[in-house]
Amino acid sequence: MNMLPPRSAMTPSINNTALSAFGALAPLQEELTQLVEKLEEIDKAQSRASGPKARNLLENIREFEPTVTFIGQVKAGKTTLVNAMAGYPDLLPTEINPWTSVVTSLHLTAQTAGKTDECAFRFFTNEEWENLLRYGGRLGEIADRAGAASEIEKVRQQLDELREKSRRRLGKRFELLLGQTHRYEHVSRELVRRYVCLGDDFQPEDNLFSEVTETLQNDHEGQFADITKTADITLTGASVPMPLCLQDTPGINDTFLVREQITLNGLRGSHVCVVVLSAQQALSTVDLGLVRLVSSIRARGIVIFVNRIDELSDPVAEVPNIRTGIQDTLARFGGPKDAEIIFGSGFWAQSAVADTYDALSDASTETLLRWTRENLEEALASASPQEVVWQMSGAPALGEAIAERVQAGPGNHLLQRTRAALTNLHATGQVVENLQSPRRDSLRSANLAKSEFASQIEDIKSQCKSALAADLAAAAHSFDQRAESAVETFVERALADLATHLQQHDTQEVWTYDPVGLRVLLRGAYQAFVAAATRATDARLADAANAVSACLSELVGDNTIPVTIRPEPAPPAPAAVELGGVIALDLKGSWWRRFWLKKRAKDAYVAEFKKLLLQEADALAHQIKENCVGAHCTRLERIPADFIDQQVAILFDDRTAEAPTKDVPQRPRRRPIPTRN
Amino acid sequence: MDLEAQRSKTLERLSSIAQSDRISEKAKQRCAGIHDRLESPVLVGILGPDTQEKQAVLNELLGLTVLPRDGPPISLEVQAGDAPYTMLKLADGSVDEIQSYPTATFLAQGADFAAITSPRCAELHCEFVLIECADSVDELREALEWAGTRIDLAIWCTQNWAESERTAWTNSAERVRDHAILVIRSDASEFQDQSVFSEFAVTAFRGPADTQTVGHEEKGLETQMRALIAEAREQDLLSAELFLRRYDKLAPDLAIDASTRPAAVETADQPYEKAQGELGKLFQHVRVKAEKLLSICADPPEDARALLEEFETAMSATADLLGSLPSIEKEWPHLHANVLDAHDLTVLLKFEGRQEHTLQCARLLSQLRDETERAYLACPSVGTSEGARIQ
Repeated sequence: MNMLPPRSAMTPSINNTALSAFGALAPLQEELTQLVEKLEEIDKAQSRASGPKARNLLENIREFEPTVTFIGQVKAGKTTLVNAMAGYPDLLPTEINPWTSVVTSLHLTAQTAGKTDECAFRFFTNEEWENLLRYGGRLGEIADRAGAASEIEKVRQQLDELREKSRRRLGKRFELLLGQTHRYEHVSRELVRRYVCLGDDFQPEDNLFSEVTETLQNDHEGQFADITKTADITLTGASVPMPLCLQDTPGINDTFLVREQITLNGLRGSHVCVVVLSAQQALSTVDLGLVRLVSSIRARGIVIFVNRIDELSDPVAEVPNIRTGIQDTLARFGGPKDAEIIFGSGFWAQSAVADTYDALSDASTETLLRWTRENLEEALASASPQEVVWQMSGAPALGEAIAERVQAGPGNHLLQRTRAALTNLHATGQVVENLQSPRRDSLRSANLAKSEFASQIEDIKSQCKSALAADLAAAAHSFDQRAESAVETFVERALADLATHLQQHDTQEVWTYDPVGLRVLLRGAYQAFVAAATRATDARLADAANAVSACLSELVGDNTIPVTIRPEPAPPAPAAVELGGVIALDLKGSWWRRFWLKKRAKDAYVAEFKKLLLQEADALAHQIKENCVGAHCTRLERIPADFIDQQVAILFDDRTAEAPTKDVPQRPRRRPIPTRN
Repeated sequence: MDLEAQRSKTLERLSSIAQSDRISEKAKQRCAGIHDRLESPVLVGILGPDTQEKQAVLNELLGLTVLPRDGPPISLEVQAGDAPYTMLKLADGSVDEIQSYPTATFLAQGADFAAITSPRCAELHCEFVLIECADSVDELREALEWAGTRIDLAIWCTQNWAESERTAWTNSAERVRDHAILVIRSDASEFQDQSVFSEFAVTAFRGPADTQTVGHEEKGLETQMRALIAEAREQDLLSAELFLRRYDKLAPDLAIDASTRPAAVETADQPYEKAQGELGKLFQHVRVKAEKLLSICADPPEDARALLEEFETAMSATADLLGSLPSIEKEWPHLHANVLDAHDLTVLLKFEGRQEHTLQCARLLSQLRDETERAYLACPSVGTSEGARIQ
């Protein structure tokens, strides 16, 4: 295989700190640093007793990397924006083919972290590839459910062609590459382009089923792109106050719906979601795919960035209309209608980062001037052109909005949790000190108390655990019932609508029914579950903390020194990203039309559709039940016991202190894979 | 029948029942309690640390300059009477009075309490008490504790909803918090603690000091207060009539149409009080929503979508409220399921967005109201004075 020579490390184009988009994260970083200092002190001073727990807390903070996911319309300029926000213009290729686009994570960290640039490209596994090629991914599944055998055949033909193409690109035995990860200890644009490729076979979405032109432009560009699933790029020279991950997703440009799951999983671990729209499309196109994708996320976790205002002739007049248009669309289709909307231009941001303005066309410059005249603040009047363009690009505003959400969400949670843990560490540390102090009558009595203490603790643990398990089971049961009834109501409504349609129109008229209602209902059911589960967990944690406090106070046996253990905040629930998945009713294009027109008799319509709708809706509800409700219950169930263990571990054996539950989003831990040259 | 006429008729019947010997002593006491409550005006408590605003609010609600501008801070009550009159309790225990509303010089004598009489109170069906206190948790809490057993409606005047206020408020009796209006003298967008809004039935934003412009609210403060008072009085009437229905077997012409309001059923298995309180909240909520939306339906706007959205918002709020009332699912599982079903259907109808769906939504909501009402009326303690205004 033809490998490129290693490159020197990427150097960021930012050398002017004024251009850091994420400066607003600095206060959070400062607070975390203070906690780190305190923990390090404890780690050093009390290595025997409190050390392990302090070290775990330290690790939690050090691993903390908020993730920002960018999703967007086709040609919304998402990648240009991500590049500019990261401070590395041109890093990720912007001319991407929807078929080959990859979830790319840019792990940004400041140079002081002492790491080196690196990147890893993960390929599809055999099963994933097989599922795609043999069954046509999610689209094949829907076709199968709909009993559309010839549709499946058609999908397969398209996929065979794609497989042939991959073979030509990667060699006959390319399937051997599946499941592998390619890892490099350097990052270069050329390297990235080999995996995250340019679109030599790009076709507008509608024509993807037709013949594709096959001309390879370059032996290396896009070489592995067909089979690459995710790319992780670590950049150590970024201008960020704290580690931050920017995730560029293929989003909705996924014809076979095979990457949809990957995008959805990306959203699951994500803390902030940036929806990138193109200013010119924002009004005209109702992009339901995007609304669907973010349907599970609360408005406060979403920022909408209306990009490419540089292409508007009169942004000052047009922007308010675009804003209203977006809000209307969101309200109408069950989207996050209260999400913050920011206007800007990734292109301007990129020009500012690179500090070159030659590429700006006259029209773009004219627009920039108009926008600047309208929005320029006094403070910027004397700023450099670079700074003005940067401000006008909306990138700093977007960075601030992101920082605000990171601070309010995961940042705040980490701070609160660590602070509570620190207080508890202090309290239990004092208990240990007290027990070891020479004032105690004898070690023997302490030991006696200890064994009794241990059994008390076990009792508390099992009580809290079973109480919480019962609460959670009740909450999960309520969800089941609500979801079941939601599915029923939904299918009933849809069929009634279908019946009306058939009465009023000929069967030649294609019937569609917006499934947004189903999503809203399931989301409501899930939110009710989350609220109940959180209430229960908080209550049981508070019980646990009180009971442990009482036990410890008794152990110390000195009424003048009450021991107080504080409950630590429970982890937040994951978003039910499954809701963003496509179901049959979402398909409104040619595929749905063909399926519709195939049926002849009216009765057949109703029966077939009932079956299809029920299966699809049930599957959606079931996924949320398994992946979200079930998983969250499992996670919460052991929290009180874990919490109690963490508090008392140091009293039993210094070595048995258990690791606290990790709070960091589960990112695939990079396995030790042999580095490629 | 007009509500006031209905009220006097109900009062008459209550008096006659109280004198009959067909009911138990306990029921007689209850009857007297209901009578008193129905007869007495609603007591509005004006609280909070913002003295100037409290006095301005009192004047505004009375529609008169009862308190002079730039008067000293003072606790006072305003009661119904034939003519303006003010009595001042001075610091030395002596009393001073004038046959008018107080003037600034009159108040400046260093009194710690003023009792004012105003003919306006009768018109408004309410009396007022304004409690003066410093901005400290202890004083605020003390004021709230005092108010907790007396007032029916709280109006809290604040500038910035400080930590002390929040602490005092969240620790106050539920009775006070159930019917409360928040008056904020600052701009909505500047207001930091947005979570406070869910604590109050109504929030009124007013411009910064001295400008009496009304900011965010759609209607004036007085209208809002009147609505809450009307609601509380209606509740009292409803409980009185329920009481009558149970004890006055001879009463054929109940003011409430018997066909739509089924008779209360005494169940052997009585749901406990907490559940009743929760059901009362739900009923109150559904009733208010239904009233508002059904009145819009009588004269529907052209854009069906907007109305459907209103229905959805109302039903979502109801479903959310239900989520915070855990006893309802246990005690009235049917009702619980029906609220959620009605919610689900309303959501779907909204997204379908057809004109004729507004009627369907209206039917759903009124069915839900009737069902909630049936369940509520069947509660054993509804009709007692405790069951009335609080819920």
